[in-house]
Amino acid sequence: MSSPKTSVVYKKANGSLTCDKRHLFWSPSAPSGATPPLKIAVADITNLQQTGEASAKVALKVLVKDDSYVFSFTSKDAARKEQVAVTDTLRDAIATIKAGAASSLAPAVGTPGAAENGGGDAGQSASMAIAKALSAKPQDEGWYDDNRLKSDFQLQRSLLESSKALDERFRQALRDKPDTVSVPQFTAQFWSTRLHLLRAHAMEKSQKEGEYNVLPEIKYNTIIGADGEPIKTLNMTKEQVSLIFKQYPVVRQAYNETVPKPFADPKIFWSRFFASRLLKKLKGLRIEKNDPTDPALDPYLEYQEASGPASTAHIPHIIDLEGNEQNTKFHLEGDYEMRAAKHDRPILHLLNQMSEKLLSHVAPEDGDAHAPIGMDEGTFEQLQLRDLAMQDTDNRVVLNVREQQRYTGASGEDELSADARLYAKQDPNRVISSLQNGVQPRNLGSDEQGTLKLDRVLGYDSDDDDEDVDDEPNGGHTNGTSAKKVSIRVGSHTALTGASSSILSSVSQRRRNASSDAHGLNGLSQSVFDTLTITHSTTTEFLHYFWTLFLSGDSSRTSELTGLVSTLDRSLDRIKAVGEQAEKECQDRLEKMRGQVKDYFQRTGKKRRIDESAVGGGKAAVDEMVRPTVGALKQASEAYRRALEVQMREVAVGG
Amino acid sequence: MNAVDATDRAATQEEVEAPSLLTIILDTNPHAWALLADSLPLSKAVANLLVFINAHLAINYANRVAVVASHSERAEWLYPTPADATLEQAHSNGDGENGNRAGTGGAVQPPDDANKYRPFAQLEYAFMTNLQRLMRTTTPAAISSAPSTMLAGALTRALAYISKQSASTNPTTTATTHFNYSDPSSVAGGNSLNPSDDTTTTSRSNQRLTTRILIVSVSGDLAETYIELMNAIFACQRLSIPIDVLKLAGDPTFLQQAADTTNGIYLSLSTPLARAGMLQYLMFAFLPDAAARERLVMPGEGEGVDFRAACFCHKRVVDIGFVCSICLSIFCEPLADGTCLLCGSHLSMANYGQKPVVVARPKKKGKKKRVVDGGVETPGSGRETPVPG
Repeated sequence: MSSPKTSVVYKKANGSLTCDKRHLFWSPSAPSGATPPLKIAVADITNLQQTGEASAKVALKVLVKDDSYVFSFTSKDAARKEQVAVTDTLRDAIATIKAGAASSLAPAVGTPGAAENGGGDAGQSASMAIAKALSAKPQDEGWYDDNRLKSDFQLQRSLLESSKALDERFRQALRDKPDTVSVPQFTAQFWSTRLHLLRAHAMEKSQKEGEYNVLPEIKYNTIIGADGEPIKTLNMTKEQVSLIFKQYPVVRQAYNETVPKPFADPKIFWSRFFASRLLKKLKGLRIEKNDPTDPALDPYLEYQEASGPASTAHIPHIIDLEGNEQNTKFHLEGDYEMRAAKHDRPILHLLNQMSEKLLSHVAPEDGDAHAPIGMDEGTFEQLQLRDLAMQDTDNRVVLNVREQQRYTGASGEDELSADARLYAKQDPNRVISSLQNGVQPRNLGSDEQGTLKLDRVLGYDSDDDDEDVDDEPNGGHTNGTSAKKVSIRVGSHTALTGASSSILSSVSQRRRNASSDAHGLNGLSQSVFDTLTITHSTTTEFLHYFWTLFLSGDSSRTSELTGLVSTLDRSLDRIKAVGEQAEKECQDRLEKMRGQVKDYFQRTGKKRRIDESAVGGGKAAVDEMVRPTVGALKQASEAYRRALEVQMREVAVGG
Repeated sequence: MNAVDATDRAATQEEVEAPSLLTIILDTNPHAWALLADSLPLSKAVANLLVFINAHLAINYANRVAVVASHSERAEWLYPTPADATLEQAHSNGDGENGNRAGTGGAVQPPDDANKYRPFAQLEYAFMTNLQRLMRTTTPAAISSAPSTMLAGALTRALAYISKQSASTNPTTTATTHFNYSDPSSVAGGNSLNPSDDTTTTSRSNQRLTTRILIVSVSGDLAETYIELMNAIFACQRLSIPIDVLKLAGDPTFLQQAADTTNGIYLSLSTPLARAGMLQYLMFAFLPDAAARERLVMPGEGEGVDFRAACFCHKRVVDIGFVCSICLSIFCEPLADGTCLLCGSHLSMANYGQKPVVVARPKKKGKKKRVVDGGVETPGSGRETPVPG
């Protein structure tokens, strides 16, 4: 796919530009020129920019990480054409390499382009790298790849099916999305924030059944043959055979040694095997005296298994249950089935061993935890009975923030907080001397003996009505401005009452929050509450989308962004609609209650008072619940408007 | 032995109330108190605090108290008087430097007044002498250079004191209160180290010292020591020591988190009227100890905790920040060389945090530049995690 040579000017030197799948070459036409030939790896290219189509000058700017190369096309009549050709070739090559980088994450499918230079590795995520290190099965790694997860529609659909809440959210958001945002764009955005869910789901799905004890599963089928004799047939699948070999190495050994000779056919081997004493032993059945003997297979009865975690591993004395066997005076006759030596009745032993073997396949050797124990000092340390130790030594990693001074040292005056600026206005000498005076004991009611009469300083007098400062209703502690004019004595009656009431109100608010069900919906009906929940979650979804897009700095998606902003505005309307619905519901309920009171009055002649404020719900409740969301929406649209205004002005100036 | 003599001693033991240690951290930032001089001078606040401490001591004869001053450039013990300070005091008092009556005694010799409960008098004397000394030894240069207060240091001192006191009070339980950092199960089990969670130790837990910390704070600007402060807060959480906060002035950011994390009470007295009622707030909200709090609905602002963090690089409090995906360090802007300052991982950003482009502008050659920062200060919800490359 190498493009034709094109004549370009680079750094004021004439030359030609060619490009193949991996590199972009520029070679000067005059070999003796000061500018050396240039070779750019396609994988390193981060961006391509070209001059506008109407522009007379035709140039291509290639951005490579921090550098950029500008090539001006000089061909008299075909400059534009050449430029387009080169750009297209490059674009294709970049796309191929990007796709290659994604697929090369599964090592089986190696793409040479990505592996060749470091640029391709940048696409790998951290989880990828970790997964690569941990996973022993390379074919599973695809599940860790973000791009594959994002594009796996089957997986996404199945995740949506399994999670109803997510499905609802997805559908609702899809319905409300602005028209400027296409469905693929939207889904890509939606899933990009939920990769972890996808990954978890993928892993869940890729779980498969482990091994099972295969021998008991193989049973004879008895068919009455043509001659009236029952014929026993045995059906085995290929998998079962391999499982038998895997689980019972002795069978594999027997098969290897007997099949060409004396058994010509594997079928004969299997039929003999399933009638043999060996099978009985392997299944853990008792071998009866009248069981048929088999000269070919019986030698394997004595076979000692050399592999398997339990039989080979060195067992340290500290955990070896049989370690002191020779020293014990008594014999645990009741438990003798559990002993390895008792092969006469080994079924439990055998089952244990079998389970161990199966489990050892499930969890492959994953490092130190399953390594042989009791081998060296380090492993002995691990074996120590830790719960008996008094305490362990700290095993912590000290982390230091490096080069912090570089940043903090540079903080200028503008970084000072409002408090610090106020402090700076004060004269340190005066501050200190006033405080030194302030803490003299005489200010704390020290009498001639030096005893502090704290009651005098506090000035609390329960009879004191504080008429002079009590002009505020209820001593409202929030009313800071008017309180400042009237100097309030510390510890005055008003102040203490105000404190009490503010504490009590916070206590009762706490209690309201703590009590669960009745106020859980804040007086809203379940249906309104659900609508509110879904409105809230879609709004959050769009906010996510907005910020990602807004901060992406991608100029090609501005129309998408405009659409999103209008959607955010509409979200406000939707919230408002829910509020109105709630208000209507609340009014209905009030009407009903008033009607009941009226009825009651007409029936009994007694008036009953209802506390209308206790009903709750309504628009106020909705507003209270979505206040943070509305705030977030306002902030988002403000940020957008501000940026829009600035950039409109820039465009106006620039154009 | 209880079983042998057939008396039920355990039952009588249950009625003994556990002693409680109240550690008060008094923010003595001189600038901040000078600003508050109109509504609540330091002397008044101290008087209120002393009444509160006396109330605490009066509730149970075994109750103890400790006061640390979180001063502008250092943290200092106010009560109990540290050993080296008592020596120095003995010297300086010989000169009669202050000329006050309280200062003429020996090491700690409060005035003997028959009308005052002796522990109160002792505490008041020691507290006042130490506070005066603290103010006397403060230089103008020191307070002009440090706008903030050494809260992290004070918290650390308080924690050290608390663990020392608990160790000497409950020698039987110290072995279990030591946290085994190497045992993974103890991490997974949660944050509580309180042995009384264990049903077998309930009878012993009565004798256990219950501890709490009260921070009387007047200044903000704690971001400078964010990491140290948060470490202390999490240590408190782990040891189940509630941190109560009485905020008289300043920016609440981290203290609100401290109270929220450790199940303490946060009260902010932002108006002069509220500050005038300080005594009532102290007595009403902060006096109940841990045992009493289990049965009470506690006051405090339950909602709207400011959970913002300070970045590790510039110590700014951030709305939107960048978090290292390996070690979770917080940064306020993308790092220049893309290397995490804490763990050294190489991080790279996807195209996030760019300067917003909202107007599709006609392409001008070479005009568009990639702007790395900008947009970072834009507030909003959510954080973007940089992906290591």
